[in-house]
Amino acid sequence: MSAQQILDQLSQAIVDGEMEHTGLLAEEAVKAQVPAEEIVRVASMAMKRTGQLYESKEYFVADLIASAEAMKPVLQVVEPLIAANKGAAIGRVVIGTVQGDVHDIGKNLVATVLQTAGFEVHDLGINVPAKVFAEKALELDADVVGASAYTSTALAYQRDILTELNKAAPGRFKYVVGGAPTHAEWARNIGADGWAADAWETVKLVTQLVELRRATVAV
Amino acid sequence: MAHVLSVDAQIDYTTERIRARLQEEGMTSLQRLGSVFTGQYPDRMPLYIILDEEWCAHYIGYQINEEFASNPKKLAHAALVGCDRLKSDFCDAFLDCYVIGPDAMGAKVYFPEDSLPEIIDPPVKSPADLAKLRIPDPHKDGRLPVALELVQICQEKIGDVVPILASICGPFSWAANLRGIYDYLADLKRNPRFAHDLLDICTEACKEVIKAYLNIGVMPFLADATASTYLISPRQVEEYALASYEKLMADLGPNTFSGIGWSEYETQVQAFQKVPALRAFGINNYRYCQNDAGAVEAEVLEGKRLARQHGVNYLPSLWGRWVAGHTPQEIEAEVARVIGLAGPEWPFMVGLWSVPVGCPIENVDAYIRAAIKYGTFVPSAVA
Repeated sequence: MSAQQILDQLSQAIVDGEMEHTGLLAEEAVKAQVPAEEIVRVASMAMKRTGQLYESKEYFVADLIASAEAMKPVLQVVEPLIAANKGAAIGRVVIGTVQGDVHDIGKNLVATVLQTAGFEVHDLGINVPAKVFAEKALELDADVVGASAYTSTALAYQRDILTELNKAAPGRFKYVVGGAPTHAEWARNIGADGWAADAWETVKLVTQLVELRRATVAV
Repeated sequence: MAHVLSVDAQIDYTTERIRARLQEEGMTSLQRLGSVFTGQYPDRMPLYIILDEEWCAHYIGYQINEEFASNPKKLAHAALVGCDRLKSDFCDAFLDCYVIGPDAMGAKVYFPEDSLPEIIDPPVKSPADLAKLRIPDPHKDGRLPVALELVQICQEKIGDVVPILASICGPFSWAANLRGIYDYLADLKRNPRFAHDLLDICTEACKEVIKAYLNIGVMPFLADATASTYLISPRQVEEYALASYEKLMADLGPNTFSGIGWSEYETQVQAFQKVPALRAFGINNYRYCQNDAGAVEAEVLEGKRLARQHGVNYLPSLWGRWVAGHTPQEIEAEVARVIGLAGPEWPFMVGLWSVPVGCPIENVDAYIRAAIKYGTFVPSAVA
């Protein structure tokens, strides 16, 4: 198979959520001398195609999850190569579900899509106290912190996280929120830097915020 | 806040208040809803208010913790107070239904501060774990006996005058919570055999709980929000969820559950096309888009269209989280607007769904006043 054929098959396997094939196809692409960055670019376009199918209601959340899971073996193959080539991530993101909340579907999808887009993502998991978001952001010198909440009782913790971030290092981090009960007005009310409706909008938002942050914060 | 009276005395006091109010009104809630469904005029609009479980508990001063969530009398007290104070024509006896079933089968739960439990560690990590699962005994395992006693208390106290809304976890959501929702949805493509096997076990578990509820004279409501086209495709809804409901009805008979709760219209339509007994429940909207006025209009008009197309009733609802964050004046305007959009064939009532903890009582009262004031009733609309 030619390199292009391998990449075409890889792209389709991601869109189809064929988790058992994508790792092998990524390895085949590497053997065929395809640069790791090109493999990631093709994979990223495939995830974007998945998002478009979701927007057009041909795909559902379960399909997005299948594609995200199909991405993971690809990332496992290419990330060491990118690190070895000293390719820098576009930005560093700390993400998690807030304290008192165990919902993680959206957060997991966002994390995978951000990784695919070239971000270094540190997923703190679920039920994460506000202080831990701040501690990790400081430890990792994150560009952006993202907090997901699904339940109304947990929503208030999104405000607490910003308080902790500003206590740790005022104005140093960019902060975005998401989750089913959230919306742009909520994000503005609590002083967050942004809110996005889905994983792909999150990539655009986080890219802008990283550029803004790196232009204003001395690294 | 300390209660001067014992919980038993509180329950009896609240029961007396509910019965006295219904006697004064001249119609019981059962009669009110029954008249609407048989094409007669009720005395007033029925009120269909579904609260987040913790709302009533907080309203009457209970701290939400493991002790509260394991005390059927305190839970019953909270459910009855909701029915009393809000004049709801349903008694919402609804104990963390998505957690309690998986909890009884080994899921590790966590109690967030002053809130009902969540599953923190689903027990099914691989197909090998299926062999460790045991069908729970609703009278013995986990907090299932608590849920059963809660419903039994409500049924005994007011079940002859107010329908008891007793929700239990549907099989698909049960399976998803035992596996972890993200992983279970991944399994639908990653390992469909595994997903089916787990669903079969959960269908059996659900069947045992349904039987226990039917034995105390209450037809449970299946809450199966995970089995909705918000998350899975119509084909997956049919292959997994609808197949499990058909199995339940094949084993237990057609009068098995009072309704099924999903988030999306598509799933509701799919379900009652496949399971005609569900048509009586009609089309309901439980979506969370009230922040976007245009989206609300589109949703209500779509609900109407589908209800007309399929010859069923349509029940719009306001989203409790929206109600929590707006003024009484805005709430009245929104009730009037939704009823205006949904009428004139419907609705006979506008529900209030998922009222969160912290929602001011003034806001709920505003909804109640507006629902009664603007609710329209057209006998010919009854399917």
